[in-house]
Amino acid sequence: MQASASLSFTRPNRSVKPLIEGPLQGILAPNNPKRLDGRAFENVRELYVQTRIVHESSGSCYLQSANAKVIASVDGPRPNRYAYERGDITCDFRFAPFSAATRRSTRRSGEEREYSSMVTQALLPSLHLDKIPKSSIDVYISVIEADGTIACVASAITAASIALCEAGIEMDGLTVGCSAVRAGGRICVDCTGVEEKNVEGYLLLASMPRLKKVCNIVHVGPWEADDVTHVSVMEGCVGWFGTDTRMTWVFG
Amino acid sequence: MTDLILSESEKTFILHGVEQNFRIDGRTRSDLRPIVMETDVVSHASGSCHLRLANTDILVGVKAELETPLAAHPDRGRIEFFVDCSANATPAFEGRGGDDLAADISRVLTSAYESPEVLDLRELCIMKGRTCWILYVDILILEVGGNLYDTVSMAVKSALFSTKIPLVSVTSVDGGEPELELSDDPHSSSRISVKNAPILVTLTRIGNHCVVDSTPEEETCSSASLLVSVTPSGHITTVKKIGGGSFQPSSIASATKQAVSVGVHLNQSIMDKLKQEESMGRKREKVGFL
Repeated sequence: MQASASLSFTRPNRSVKPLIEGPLQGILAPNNPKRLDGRAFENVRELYVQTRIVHESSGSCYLQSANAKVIASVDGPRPNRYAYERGDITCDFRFAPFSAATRRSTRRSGEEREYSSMVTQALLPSLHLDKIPKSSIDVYISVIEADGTIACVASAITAASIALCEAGIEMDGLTVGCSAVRAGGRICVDCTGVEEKNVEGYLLLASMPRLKKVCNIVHVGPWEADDVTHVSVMEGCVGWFGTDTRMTWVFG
Repeated sequence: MTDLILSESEKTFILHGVEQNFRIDGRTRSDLRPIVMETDVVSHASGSCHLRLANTDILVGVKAELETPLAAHPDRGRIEFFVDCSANATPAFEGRGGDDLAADISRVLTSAYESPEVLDLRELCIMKGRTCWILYVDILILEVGGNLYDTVSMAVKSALFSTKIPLVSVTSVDGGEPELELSDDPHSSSRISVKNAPILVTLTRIGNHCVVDSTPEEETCSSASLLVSVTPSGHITTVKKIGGGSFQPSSIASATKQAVSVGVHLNQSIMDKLKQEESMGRKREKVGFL
């Protein structure tokens, strides 16, 4: 029996997730009483936190909220003779290439630089960097699976803060990040990737709930002034932080 | 921005002044310093504006170029912001020193102008999917004297107001590509509507209150600022925190209210002045840089 002459395998250049027919539009439409996963609009996803994931680093944290997975690791404080009066902190926020349905480029994009600066801004108020002069701290954040871009940035803030705590950096309190989008005139807290499509803008809030301080607020989109200071986002932070008893167990 | 060194008593003096709603130069917390502005100062640009707010000097040039639209939005033009922190402004900007700040300002402006109600980018489309206008807004920072973001946004809005886009006519050739003809007449041009364009308002937190238009001394006293982008109708298009400090949740709410009231008033004043300048027509004496 003769083998067939040629079997040509043309490797596809890019991998595409198969399209699923379904009600993707209007997930957060005004007439929808609930979300896809049954949460209320002010509720955040459940959280799972594990520290001491990366043994080589000073401190690390793995954070998973429903499907989104983030790893943060801290390297430092390392000597840095250019940081005179106060220590220096740099955050490197990256999406892994396999984190979303379409593959991301390995080169750092402007979007990732923007998110890195959002995370740095959120962490700065809580840290006592003047206690570690002439040192620098590097925080590396990798998003392994993204489920909602801005929600991932919020999780990254929380994960980075826990990793810094585990690394022994002196801080006022844990910083927790929470995000919200506005769709159909309604504020919806902690949205997944599907819910984030076609929205009228997003809001990211990072706070230290115990000290009632807002560490960072970033908002893009045409909103009314009242929506920006909507109480539900702040309570989203508190809701996540309310699991602090579980967090002490994780550290202990 | 500048590395000012203030003594503790000077900082306390500024703090007490802010609490009493009477700052060092006599302004209230919501007052701005005098603004001098002129549009159409750069002859090669489609639109330009030279704006000076006390010691902060910004020059903006807008150039409109014909390019293909993005595949995701074939019926819209684009607007892109580039900021150049000139080494004239502060010695800290020498070499690559100003790059981070420049990237930051252009990101904030992109977020502020992102929402569709701000600028109708469909007005910039000539042929759907083929050609559109792209507005390149180039911002040159000549001098920094406090309150950089707000001054840049005011200059950008004024430059966009003065931008004249040449009229384009599409002549279709039988069996070939449609051809574009730019009108040769320099006086026949279209304008883009900036009636919803936002202005950034920076609220610098000093003590328990927020001040608008902070001087470099006041900036040294504060640990955190809130940047709010306000449209003439009072909507907020972007909010960002600057600096290493934190806010109380209630002060964010009061700060955004203050920003909206100042922003709406400022938008109105700038539009009034721009219209007044435009009404002077060709008889207007150009002051330029002297």
